[in-house]
Amino acid sequence: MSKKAKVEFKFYTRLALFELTGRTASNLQEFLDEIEHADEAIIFYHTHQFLLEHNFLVPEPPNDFAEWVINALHERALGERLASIDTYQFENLKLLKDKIVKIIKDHMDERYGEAREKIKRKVPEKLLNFATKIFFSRPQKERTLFGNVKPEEEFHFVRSTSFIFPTTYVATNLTEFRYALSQVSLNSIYYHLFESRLRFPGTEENHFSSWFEKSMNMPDIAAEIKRLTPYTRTLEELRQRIIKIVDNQLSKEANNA
Amino acid sequence: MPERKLDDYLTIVGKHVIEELRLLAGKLKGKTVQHINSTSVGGGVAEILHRMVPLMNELGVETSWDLIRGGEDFFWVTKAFHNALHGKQTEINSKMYEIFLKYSKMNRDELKIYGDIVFVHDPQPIGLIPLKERIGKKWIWRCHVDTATPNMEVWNFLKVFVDQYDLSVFSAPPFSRELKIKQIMIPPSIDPLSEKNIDLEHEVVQKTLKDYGIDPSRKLITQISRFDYLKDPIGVIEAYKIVKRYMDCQLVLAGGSATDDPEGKEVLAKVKDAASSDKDIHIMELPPASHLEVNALQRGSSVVLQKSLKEGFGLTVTEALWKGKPVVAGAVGGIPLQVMHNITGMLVHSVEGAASAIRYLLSNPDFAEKLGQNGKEHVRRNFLLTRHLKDYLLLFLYLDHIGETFIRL
Repeated sequence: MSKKAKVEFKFYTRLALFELTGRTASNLQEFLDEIEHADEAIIFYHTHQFLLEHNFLVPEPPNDFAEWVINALHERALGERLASIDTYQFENLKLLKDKIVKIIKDHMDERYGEAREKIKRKVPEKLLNFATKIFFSRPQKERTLFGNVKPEEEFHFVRSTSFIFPTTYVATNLTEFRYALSQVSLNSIYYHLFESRLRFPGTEENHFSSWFEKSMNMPDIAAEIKRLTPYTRTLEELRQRIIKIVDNQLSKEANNA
Repeated sequence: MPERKLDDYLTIVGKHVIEELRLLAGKLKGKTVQHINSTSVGGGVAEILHRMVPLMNELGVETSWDLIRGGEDFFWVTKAFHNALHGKQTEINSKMYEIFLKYSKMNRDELKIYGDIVFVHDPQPIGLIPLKERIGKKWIWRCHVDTATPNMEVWNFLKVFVDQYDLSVFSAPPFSRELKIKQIMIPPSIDPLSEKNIDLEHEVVQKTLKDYGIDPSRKLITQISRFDYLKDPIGVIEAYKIVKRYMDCQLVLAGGSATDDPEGKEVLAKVKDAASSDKDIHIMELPPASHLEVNALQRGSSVVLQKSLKEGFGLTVTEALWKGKPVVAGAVGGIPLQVMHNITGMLVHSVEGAASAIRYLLSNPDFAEKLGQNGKEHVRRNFLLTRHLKDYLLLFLYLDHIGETFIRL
């Protein structure tokens, strides 16, 4: 019989409904403006929700922003930079959004700079400065050196609403935890491992690690789970990985008994 | 149509999906849902409600379905509205609005509203909404129509009604419009147990192909869709002809009969003309109930094409993906939700692009198979009836939390 937890672990699950915001972007400037004004539920949809929905695909697509920049805008370098963001390293969605905005702004500065250099070779400096002044005096939406995509290729901003509700699974010790983990849905695993941390500022650890550390006094297992990300593994593989970690602990306990 | 039970879907979607549906439905105990539309036969809305309503009741959410009434003149007007919302050139006049308003009032006077949640489908019954002020209840308007480029006069007329609902629902991002109320995205779905999608024995597929004069041992490219310029059937034939220069293959273009549709007749005549010099091109006009035939044609194909220039959600794409087929499709309407380029299929923008995608898939069967596997899994998770049920349950729950983005139940 494995050790009893100080506090039981209640498994919750999460499902989501998606809201069409009516906000769209048809060029890079609009894309940046919209992301800057987007709330966290919009950022969540296009980064985490998108990965959650496509986690099973091989190869797994990058986040939704990168996908659009590559396939609709054909801005490959920017797309690669956005795709390489390690979404899971960010403690909250505000920090993730700031990172996305910075990458796009840096890219645009680079591109405006390049365009300016090209024009400079053909146009006198004074005229160029005048043109630049006019350019920046226009409303931001019209101020683009980047072409518009076709209407059917516009980017549509979507907001994710998460619904969290309890499952019937509860664990009071390691054996029960293992069983429950093998039974719950991947949505449940995703919620406890990733979304809970992101959506509640100040929550430093995922629910599993927190439980292992505080209720089971097993800091090593807590640390091992904390290192997991859904980037290199599917959620099902993550489930199996945690089960293996728990199995190792159960074997140790059996050997020590 | 046999009535299905939730457990019939267990082996297809997995126990977690069914368990979560039951948990969600438990949160709606005591609520009644009243669906309202204009017809119980024909069309996608009726088809989905026939399947959805019994499953909702099985889940313990008391659900019923009522129809509005209307004369021939009303349905003539709503058909014109439907075409106008699709962006088709349609003549609309003030008399038509009068007819619409007259029947809307008649239905407001006659139809009994008893649901806690009143779920109104498409424009025909949209004019019931003024009842809300008098009787309360929660009202949802579900738009099944592609409203990406609507006739603005008709849309603005309907928008006055839409804005009075509590929530609206659209099938894909391009169809959303500027509204005062929240718009929820709920794509349509296919039923994996329907005749059109159910698993078929290999022999049945082979026999069907042979019956239609198709050689099952040779490569087959198929497009299933009505004969309409927007489905670009001529472009499909051109793409096929490019592919044929390099490799042996056959083409099937199958769609419903075009006898009632003058434009359809014209397109069909042109398609037949373009195909006349090649006996490997099979043009088929199928009767409306040819579900098993369509199923077999899709399953017997090496590549399924949907080279649309404009598209609604594109359920024929969903059907092909569900059968594990590599799909080449135009990046329009709801198709990009389903086909991620080079991951769950290939998106194309031209005849030449379609031809090279088909050639690539026919020459690289491993890649084609991988796309097919990904596509099937994508549909399993996102475009089956059970996902549709889940979204509706969440939608009903959301009515008490409008505007929140993190809801604890």
